[in-house]
Formats: sequence, structure tokens, C-alpha cells
Amino acid sequence: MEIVVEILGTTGNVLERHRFDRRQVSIGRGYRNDVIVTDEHVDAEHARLEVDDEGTLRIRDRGSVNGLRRIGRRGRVNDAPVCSGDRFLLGRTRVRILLPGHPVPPAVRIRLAERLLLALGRPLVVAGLLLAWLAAITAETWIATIGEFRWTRVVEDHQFQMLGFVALAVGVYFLSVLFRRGGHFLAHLGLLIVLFLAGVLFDASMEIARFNAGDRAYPWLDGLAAFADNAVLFVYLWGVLYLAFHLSLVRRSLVALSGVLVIFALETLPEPPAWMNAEATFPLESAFLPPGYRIVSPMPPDRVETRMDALFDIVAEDREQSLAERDGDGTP
Amino acid sequence: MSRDAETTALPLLALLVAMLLVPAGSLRAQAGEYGALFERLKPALFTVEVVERDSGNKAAIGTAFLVTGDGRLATNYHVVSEHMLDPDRYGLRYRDADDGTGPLRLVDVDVLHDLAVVEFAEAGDRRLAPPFALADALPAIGESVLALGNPYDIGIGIVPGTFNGLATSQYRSRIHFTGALNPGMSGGPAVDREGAVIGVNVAAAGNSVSFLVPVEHLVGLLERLPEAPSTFDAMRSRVTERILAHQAEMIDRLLEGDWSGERFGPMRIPREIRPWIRCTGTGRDRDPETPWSESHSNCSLDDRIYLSRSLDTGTVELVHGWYRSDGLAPLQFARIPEQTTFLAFNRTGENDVTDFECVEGWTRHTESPAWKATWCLRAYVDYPGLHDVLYVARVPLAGTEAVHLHYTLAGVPRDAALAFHRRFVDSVDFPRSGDAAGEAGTPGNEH
Repeated sequence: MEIVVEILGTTGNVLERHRFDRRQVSIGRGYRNDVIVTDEHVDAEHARLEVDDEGTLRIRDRGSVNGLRRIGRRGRVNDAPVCSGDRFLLGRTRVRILLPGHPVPPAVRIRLAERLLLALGRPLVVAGLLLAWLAAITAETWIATIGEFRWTRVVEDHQFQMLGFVALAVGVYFLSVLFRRGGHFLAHLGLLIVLFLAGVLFDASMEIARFNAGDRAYPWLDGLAAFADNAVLFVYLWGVLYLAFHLSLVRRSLVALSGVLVIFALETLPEPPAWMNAEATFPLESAFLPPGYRIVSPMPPDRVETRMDALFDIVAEDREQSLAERDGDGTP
Repeated sequence: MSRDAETTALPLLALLVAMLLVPAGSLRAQAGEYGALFERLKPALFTVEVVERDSGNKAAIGTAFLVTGDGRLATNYHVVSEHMLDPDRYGLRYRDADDGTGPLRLVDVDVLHDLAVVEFAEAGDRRLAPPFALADALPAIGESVLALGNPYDIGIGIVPGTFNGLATSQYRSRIHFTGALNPGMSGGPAVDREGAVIGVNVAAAGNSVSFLVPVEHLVGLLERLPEAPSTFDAMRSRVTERILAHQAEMIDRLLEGDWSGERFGPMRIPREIRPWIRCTGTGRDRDPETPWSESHSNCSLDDRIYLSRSLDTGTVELVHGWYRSDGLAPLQFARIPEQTTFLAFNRTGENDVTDFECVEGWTRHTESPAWKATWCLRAYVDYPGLHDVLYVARVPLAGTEAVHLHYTLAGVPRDAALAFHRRFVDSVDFPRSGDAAGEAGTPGNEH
């Protein structure tokens, strides 16, 4: 009779898989066992799988110190029948027993999104992206230093970005190793560079938008910037969950979305950000660019004046409010 | 306000030294003359004390002098302002030369000229000294004038000085008096050799440059006394009305002034629109650390209307800036005008005004290049109808050249603010480069 024994990780991932074609399989720390486990809480001869006279597969505890348990149920198991897919705990080790006829889910198609994620792992692509990102932050520094450009300024101005970059890359790699998922390190690096590069390009387009915008557009631009931050977080989580943890499309979309919602709630609940009030305060944004970057057509002066005139009524309301607040203070 | 006594020693010592240097003969003559005059005027001089009612301490002091036979005294508005604005908290009392004291009642104020009239609240059986005579005409320039008052609350004194005509940099007429006025002398009279009042001590600009309110404004206030408001509320709303009317008129006169432009970089801008608008220029050439040059034309009316210790108004400011560089790329250059920030010109406390509300966007006036303008407005909480206005426009020009336009108006009514804005933006003119190539300003300091 054929028996499949799997050793599982803490998240249910399969670490080892053994197939036997015999009536007895022994599991333990001793070197004579069919399945050798390294867990120190497991006895030298811990448990045995046997097919009995009636052809039923059973599991037996061989007098172990920490015993044999079914995962998700209380109490030790001494001798019990086993169905395909049953999971047991030996010491701290998780074991799943399968019969070869056990059904498997259909193969998951590699979708376009995943192919793109994997393409980020090609060395040439990573190198190209890295160069593009370096060029972008160099240009950013060159503009901001107003004629005093030094290469060291590029590092100085972006050291937190670079540190974050390295921390994320190394951190996720170690996590994937820790969970024995074997993450796709280069692809993860490529994804990080894409997101950092997108950040620089997004900032540049926001500058142009602010340069063109008026007071009414600022709250929306701030909202857009906040949305973009969350979108970047979503894409990153979504990509990493595939590259390092092999989660399926639906599962990683749900996990990434809940991660973003948690972060958003943590940011928003203590104090709603200014853009949520849709209210611009003084002093206003004053991003300034050469005249060629102006896309909007200027307002005719009389329309400006109409808006200025309306401001008198707004400050009159502010004044009433100040007076009401002062009376509310209990000043005599 | 109670001042430190130690800071008072210096001006007094200086006065003594100055007197020793005067030739002995004239010293004796002057001393005798001033002495007799001072003795005659002294009984009509009083110290005004603003008293914080809870603690009984003095919050401010000034000088007042008798101006009518029925016990009315003149002083500065800024001496008694706390009493008018918060009579429940601040009381008003006098102290005479014999240290007799009693309560005072505020009769009327003229905030525009910083004048106030008070009277004895318990005048019943007081024997009054003869009031000061008010001069009909101002003396000739160079004539001696004596300022009387109680500097730093150390006792009524006399300060000789010189009449130097009316100050031209002020919108509301003020006498330029060369003599040392010190805090506490505010509200005291300045008299000619006969003892007739020519003005009221009001402010010092340092180094013996001082200002007096011409006596005509006091005469005007005394004439209006029969219709003086009877309650503090009425007095305060009268103040608001008068400031509104005065500021509307001031803006009108400004609009009728000389707005014909003078060349400033790529544009023509107005300069000294009226004699009381004063312009200064500052500039900076490019250097290795800041590879661009900038020039600013800064015109202002710095004639402030005192409203309270934390609030003044009535100022006007017009600033034009011009930036250019030949070593920078346009994208780098654009960062420079972005760095300049603008603030309101007048002094305001946190609770005196609302927050600024602003309108911002691109606009274009006639032939000018498009500019991005911010127009901000705030209201005075205690003076309905009065506003501060702040305008900033940044004009990117072709290549590496930019201009900013800026003005602030303090304490203006709605219509005046909008009319001024129209005049201001119309006055900025960008002649086509060919038109005035000859007179184009050279980069750098041209003032």
C-alpha cells in the first residue's frame, strides 16, 4: 500500500514529502526510521503507521515522551485509524498523512501580472531599473541644489530612501528564508526599484500639477498624493506576497488590501488628514516651475475678482465664529 | 505700563550734561524763563494711570492736561485704550502734582490721531487750575517748543526741543519735534514760549526725533464732544466707523496718486505714488554661493493707527521683486522665487483677526505674461468691516528671469480693497523688450 508522509511548516507549508510503498512506516528522531525528524521533542522511535489486517491505515504512539496528537483536537492518541489528509503533532513537528488517491486542486495558471512580477527578476531588467532610478534622483538633486550640485548630495538627500530600500530587500529575503518559502530575491529587488522610481516620477508630476493648480485643486491633489501612497503600499504587499510567499492572486489581493486598510486606519483615525477637510489654509502651495510647464489657461481678471469678492463673506463668517468662540470661553 | 526705573537715568543725565554745555548766560535766562512757565502750567498737568482692577496695579501710565474750564483733560488714546476696550478689567484714575488721586471717566476718543478726552468722575468740589490755552497757529520752524509729561512715572518734567514742521512721511499730519520724548510723557502737551499748546506728545522715533499730534486735531475732537457717545459700546462702534471712513478716503487718495510707472527690470512699476509713500530698494548680485541676482523695490506707508497693545492698522506696503540668472538651468532657477515668503505688515494678536482665507490661481492682465497669484483676506474680530489684505503674484518669464508682485493693506473696507487691487494689477506693465531696451535697468543695485 502506498503512503505519503509530509512534514509541514508553521504556516501549513510543506517542508518535506516522502512516499512509501509498504505496510509499515516508522517516524522518529532515530536514524533507523523511515521518516527522520530533527525535532528534539520527538522520541527516537515516536510513532508508526501500519496497515492492519482489514486494510485500514492506523497510527500508533510507541510510548513517546510528548505523545501523539491530532492537530485541532485535545488529548493524546495511542492507536487510531487514519484518513487521507489527517494531520498530527509529534512533539513540535506537524505531519500530514496522505493516500496517493488524495485529490489535488487544479493547476494555477501563471497570469500576466505574475509573469510581469517574475520578469522583474531578470538581472538585466534589475540593472536597467536601478540605473533609471539613480538617474531620476540625480536629476531631482541637480534641480534642488540650484547650481551647487555635488554627487555626495545625491546620497545625502536620499540616504533614508536608500536605507529603506536595503532594509526592505534584506528583511523580506530573510522572512522568506525563515518560512522556507525560497523567495525570488532579484524579482523582489526589481519590484522595489520600480516602486521607488514611480515615487520620484509621481513627485515630479505632482510638482507640475501644483504649479498649474489653484487653491480649489490643492485639497484634491493632497488627497491624490495620500491615495498614491496607499496604492504603492498595496502593489508592494501584493507583489511580495507572490514573490516571497507564493500566495495565489485572490488571497494576496485580500491580504494586501487589508494591510493597506489597517495602515490607512492607523493614519486617519487619530486625526483626519488636512485633505479630508477639503480646506486650504495659508500659506498655500507655491510650487514654481518655468513658464513652459503651465498647462492651464489663466483665469480672466474679472473671474478672479468675483472669487475675491466672495472671500469677504467667508471671512465675515470666520469673524462671527471667532466672536462666538470668545463668548463661549466664559469671558465676562 | 510700569517701566524699569534704571533705563530712565540715562536720558536725564544726558539732559543735565547738555545743559552744562550751554553758555552760562543763556542757561540762566532759559532756566528762569522755563521755570516760571513750568510753575504756571504744572497745576493743570496730571498723570493718568490705567489700573488693573483685580490687582490694583498700574497697567499703563501717561500724561493728561486740562483743556476746558469744566474739568476735561486731553491725553493719548493709546494711554487709555485698555480702559476703553475692557472697562470691566481696567479702571482709569489721575494723580496730580500734590499726589492727590481720583477716578477719571473717558469722554471720547479720536483713534486716528491717537487722542482721548477724559474728565474727573467726581469733580464736585474740586478747585480747578486754569486750563491750557490752545495755540491758533503752529510756530515757525526752528522755534523752541517745550514738551511736558511724566517720563517713566518719575515725576512731571519739562523737555525743551525744536519745532521742525510737519512730518512728510506720515499720512495723518504729525509735528516733527526734535527733543527726547519718553514713555509716560504720552498725552502730555507740547507748548510754545507763551505756554499755548501746539501739539500733544505721541511718539518717539529715537535719537531725539519725536512726534506730536498737531493741536488742530485736539480742537476738532473737543468740538465734537457734545455728540460724544454715552456708552463704551457706542464709542467702540464710532471708532470702527471713523476708521472705515478714514481708510476708504486714504485708499481713494492713494488711487488718485501718481501711478505712472518707472522702469524696474522687465516691467514698469509705480514708486512714490504719494509723498507719504516711501520707497527703498535692496538688491543682491550673484556670487558663487547664490548664482542669481535679485532686486526689490519696497514702498510703504508706515503710519500706523494704534488700536490696542497687540493690534495696529492703517499700513500699506507695495513690494516688487526681480530675479534673474545666467548660469542656472530654468528648472533650477524656478526654485528661487519659490523660496521668498510674504507676511502681513501690521502687528496683530492671535485673537484680533481671523485666519487668512485665500484665493490662488493663474491669471493674466491685458498684455502681461500670465502669473500665479495668491490673494488672502482676514477680518478684524472687534472692528466689523475692517480687513487685512495680502497679495502675492509670481511671474515666471522666459529663460531664467522672474518677477514677484506683492502688496499688503491693513485695515481696509471691502470696496477700497477691491479698488486698490484693480489699480495695483493694472499698474504693472511689461513693455515689450524692444520698446525700452535703452532704459532697461542693469542687473544689480539700482537704487
